Amino acid sequence: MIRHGDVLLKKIARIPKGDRKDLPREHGRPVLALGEATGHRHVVVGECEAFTIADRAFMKMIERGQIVHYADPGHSAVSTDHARCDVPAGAYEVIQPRQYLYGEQIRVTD
Amino acid sequence: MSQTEGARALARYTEACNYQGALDVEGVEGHLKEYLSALGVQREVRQLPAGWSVESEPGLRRYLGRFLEEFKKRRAALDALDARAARDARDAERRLMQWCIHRLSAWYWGHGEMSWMAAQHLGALQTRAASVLAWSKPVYEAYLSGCWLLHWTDDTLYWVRKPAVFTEEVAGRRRLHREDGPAVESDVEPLYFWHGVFVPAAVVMQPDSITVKDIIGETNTEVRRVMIERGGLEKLREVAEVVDEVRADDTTVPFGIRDGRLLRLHLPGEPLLFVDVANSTPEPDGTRRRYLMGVHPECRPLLGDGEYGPAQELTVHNAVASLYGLKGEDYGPAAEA
Repeated sequence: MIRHGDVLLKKIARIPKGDRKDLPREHGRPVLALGEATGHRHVVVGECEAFTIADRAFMKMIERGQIVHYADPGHSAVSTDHARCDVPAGAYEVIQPRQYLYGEQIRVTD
Repeated sequence: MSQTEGARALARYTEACNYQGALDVEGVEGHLKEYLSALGVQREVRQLPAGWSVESEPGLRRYLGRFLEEFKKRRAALDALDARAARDARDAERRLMQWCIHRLSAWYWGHGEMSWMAAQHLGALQTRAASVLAWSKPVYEAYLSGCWLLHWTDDTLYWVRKPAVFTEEVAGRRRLHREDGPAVESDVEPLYFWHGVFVPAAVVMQPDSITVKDIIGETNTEVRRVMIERGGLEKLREVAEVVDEVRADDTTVPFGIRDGRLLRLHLPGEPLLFVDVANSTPEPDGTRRRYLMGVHPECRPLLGDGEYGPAQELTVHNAVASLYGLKGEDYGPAAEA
């Protein structure tokens, strides 16, 4: 299990079957999450497949890579907010947190 | 293209990225007309003037009407409109139009942001692709002449001059920040930033007006963090009871929950449970940002779609795990940043 800011990568034995929809990519790299208030991106660097199946996000790292926090859409500067994290090859569920407010679950944005 | 020509073009582009820079209105409009000609389309070229209104710009009014019609069922447009519901209709229209130009043209889609568009020309100089050079050259020159954004309507190509920007340098890079006004003085609308975080104007200009209710109601965790830092910390302490806390040097728990607190906020109505944790990566000055996130009153894992996991003991560890839809016993990152 790897936590990179508000992105949690949970190692799983296998990725469930289902219709896959690719996560958006920038500069060829899958974007796992992006910040509305700062414009930052949590991006995977390395050979991988990243997609959703029925609103759950998954990632298959083909070989060891990294999750990197870029400060801008151009990926020109690595942010100081979160250090790089190594991501070993394997299958992961990508979980973004929710919070509870006034009786409702709300996806966390930042 | 010679190396000298490419290097010169890059140097001019780099200098043009220092906003606000000089403005040559005739130059911008001449180059944009060349751009339109290269595309084979006809539009009036018009600078969006400072102090514009939807009433003074018929092209924007028509655009806005179609935008609302097309997107009325889409969440983003409704959110933008709802957020302005308390204001009078004229102000709401202007706010929505500002949102369209800034957030759609520039921030999210990038289709009308000239630094991005002009950069295509640097590549075209290398590939010598005539079909690209035909439109990228005038775009590049318009950017160098002071154009920042483009916004298309059916009959007009609006352009916006580069804004005055206020920044601070952190770890060798600049980020938007200003303590006594908007960090981006744009002709579209003033934009306020606090150490790189895009915040409502009141957070910068009237921090004393921030209430606990404002803080709780702000769902963006970065904006909420800034609201607490700017004016809400003492107000929060007045209503907060510490339910559980983890010492900063407790090595028996995941790094990300050390120095964390589980707080019950005593406000009118239902007591609210929040977990207060520090960022795992320190700031360049060694401090750590803190984030406050709402937790189910029984620490039940939040599974989405209105589903919840079992009730758990009220601990910081269980609370953080619940945000990811997990029980505390299943949450233990091997690496955190």
